This record gives sequence, structure tokens and C-alpha cells, in this order.
Amino acid sequence: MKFDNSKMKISMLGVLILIIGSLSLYSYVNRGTTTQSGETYHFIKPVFAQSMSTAPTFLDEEAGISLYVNINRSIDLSVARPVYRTMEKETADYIVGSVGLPGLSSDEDVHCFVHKDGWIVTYYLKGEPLSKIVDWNLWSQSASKLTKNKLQAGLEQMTSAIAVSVSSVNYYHFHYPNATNCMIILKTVVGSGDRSFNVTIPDDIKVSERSWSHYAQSTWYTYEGTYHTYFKINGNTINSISGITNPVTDYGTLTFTNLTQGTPNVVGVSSDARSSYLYGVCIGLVYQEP
Amino acid sequence: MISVLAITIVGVMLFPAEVGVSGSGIIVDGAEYTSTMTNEYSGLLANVTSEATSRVSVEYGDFNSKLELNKSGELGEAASAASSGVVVEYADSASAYESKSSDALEQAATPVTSRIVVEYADFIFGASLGPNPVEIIPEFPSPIILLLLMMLSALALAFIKRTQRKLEISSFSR
Repeated sequence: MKFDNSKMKISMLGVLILIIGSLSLYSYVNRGTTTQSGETYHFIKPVFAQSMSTAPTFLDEEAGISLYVNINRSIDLSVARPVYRTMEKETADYIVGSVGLPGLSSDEDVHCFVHKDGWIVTYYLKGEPLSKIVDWNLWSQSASKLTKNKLQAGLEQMTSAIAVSVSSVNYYHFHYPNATNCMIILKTVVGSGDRSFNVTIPDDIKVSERSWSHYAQSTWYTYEGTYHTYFKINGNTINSISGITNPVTDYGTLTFTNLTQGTPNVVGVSSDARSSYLYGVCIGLVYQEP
Repeated sequence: MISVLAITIVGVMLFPAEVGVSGSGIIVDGAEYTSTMTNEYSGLLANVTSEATSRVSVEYGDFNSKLELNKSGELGEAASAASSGVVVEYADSASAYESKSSDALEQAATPVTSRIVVEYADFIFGASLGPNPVEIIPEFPSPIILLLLMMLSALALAFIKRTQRKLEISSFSR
């Protein structure tokens, strides 16, 4: 009886060790892979899983234009947490959520991934155009310069919270992994006027995305109706803004016909405003150099 | 030239009826008046015109000035050496720079790839994309930790089996 008890104990201990070992292995293998509301997040794939599976990471699945950095030190996620306006996912290792930007509605929030190993990724979703990163509130007319874009602004909020400064960042577009470059081009007009720039895209450049942003600081005029602003390419109206708006930014994408390759395109913004309001247009290009 | 004209004339003489009847294949409906003219060129006229020099015909001119153009042989030699030039009219200012690229520059420029050309923009921002952050983020667990866990599990199993065998032997010896 005594023998049976000892044997039973050892067997149970063995089974227990096996269960604990299996659970440990399982948790390590699936580290960084959690499920919430039927959504699976993959960011860090285990080495052996990488060799066996080509499953995309959650960034591959949902991110578009992204800005990322590794601050080369660990991040205390409890310090990062208050920066988020909305938390989408939180584990012991990372947080995914959206970060609000000063003076902008929640529609303009940037998504942010922070990992305790020092990684910070700010991004827009893959369905959103590159031109969305332009924050017209950050346009300096006197310096004729966009001081920073929305991804930079989101990153800055996070790095300020964790008290670190970054000098070198990288951009990546998850929806167009073969794209090598991106470019945004801006033209503005203050008050009434018609201003334009020329852009010539060579035929041998593979353009993945052509997008635009059209901004009106105000089109509201009390007594004489509203001001109008037009965004045109080669004389064709792509977008117009009028009515009681304070301010408004429209986004969109362009086709090959709208913005051709091999010939110069004239991109213009005009306004009939009598006040010194700012109006602007931006063209965003994601492309692969030959 | 004369032989071509002669062939044309012969052709017209051989097939005048066909041309005249068909009206060169043009169908005219409902016209009040139709006139068909045969395009003929006589040999005599050809002889006469071959002897005449070319003339400039001026019609409706308010002012005509005629200059005798006489090209000397020396001018011909000089002109053959001269290259084509740009004609500038009504300019307030014109300046010319000789454009000549060296072989070294051409060699250096050859590997440069195509670029998007932007003119008159207020602001341009360009960035290189990549690399993919997912590929460069360090993997965890590391292979060493994984191997260690597997070894520990194997050791635990071996220990259990050994203990079991010992107990079995001791129970038999009893």
C-alpha cells in the first residue's frame, strides 16, 4: 500500500511537471500572440514558428504608413499607458491603442504600439492615405514648413511621457512592402489667389499610392455667403470646399488618370477668400524607385 | 523627274474613261451640280516648266521687297562649317552658355536612377521606407531558453522513470 502511494505520488508529480512544462512551452511559443474578441495579434513570432509559418503579424494585417523607433532601453508600460486615448490591447509586454493629437478630433488619432523592449510604432491603418499624416495646424506659413507630421506628433507624445528623446526614426508602409520611398508635396495660398506646383513622375517609377489632402482654415463668411477653395490637377477639379466650415481637411486617393506619369502635372489650390485664411493642398506618393 | 511625269501621263491616258466615269469612287447624292475634272499634265508643259526658274508668288501683300539672292561658293563653304543656331527675336535680354558635358560626368550620371521632379512647391518631405520593423525586432523566447526548457523536461522525465524503476526493484526485493 505504501509502495502504491509512493508510486502514485511520483506519477502525479511527473504528470504535473509535464503539464507545467507543456504550459510553459505553450505560453512561450504564443508569447505576443493574444486573442481578444476573436482578433489575433501577432507581432513577435517565435523563431521556430517563423520557420514553419508565414502568418502575417498584426501590423502586416492592419497598418499602413508607419513610423518606428527603438529607444534602446526597456519601456515601463505603466508610464506609456496614460498617453493613450483608447487602449485596444494590453499585455505584459506591449500596448496597442490610439493616441489623440492636439486640436484634432479622434478621427485623426494615430495608432501606437509600444513594446517593453523599447519599440514604439505610430501608424495609420492600411486603408488610410499617406496624405493623412499632414497636420495643417502644424504648417508654418512664415517658415514655409510643416514642422512635423501626425506620426511624429504621436511619437513625440509617447517619448515625452517616457522621458526619452529620439534622433533617428524609420518609416515603413506595411501595405506596400515593396515601396522604397514616400513623398509629400505641399502648396498653400493665403486669402484669395491661385497657386500651383508641377510634379513629373517618370514612367519607370512604380507608384503604389497617389493621395491628396485639401485644407481650408475657414470658408465661412457671414454676409456674402461662403468662401470657396478648389483643388485641381491639370485644370480638372479634384475637390472643392465651401459652406460653413471651420476648419476642414478632406482626404482622398488619385488614379493614374488624375496624376499621370511621364508628363508634368500641374497641381493647384485656389481660393476666393477675402480674409487671410490658409488653404492648402498636399500630394502624397508611395513609390518604388527602379 | 521627267520619267515619273511621263509614267503618270501614260497612266492617265490609258485609264481616262475609268476615272471619268467613276468620278474617282466618290459618290455624290442630291447635288445640284457636279463637275468632274481629269487631272492631266501634258509633255509640252513639262518641257516648258523645266526650263523656268522657281518664283516666289506673293498675294495680298501690303509691302513687298525683293532681294536678289546670290550664293557665292565661299559662302557655301563657310555656311557648311557653321552649326544650327537659336534665333532670338524681341527679347529684352539674351544670354548664351556653351553646354558641354564631360565624359566623366556622363559616366557618373549613368547609374543615377529616375527621380520625381517637383517645381514651385512650398514644401517637400521625402523619406526612405524600411526596413520592416517586424523583421528586426528581437525574437523571444530565444533559442537557448527554449532548448533549456526542453532539456529540463527531458531530465525531469528521466528522473521520474529512474525513481519508478528503483521503487519497483525495492518492492520486488521485499
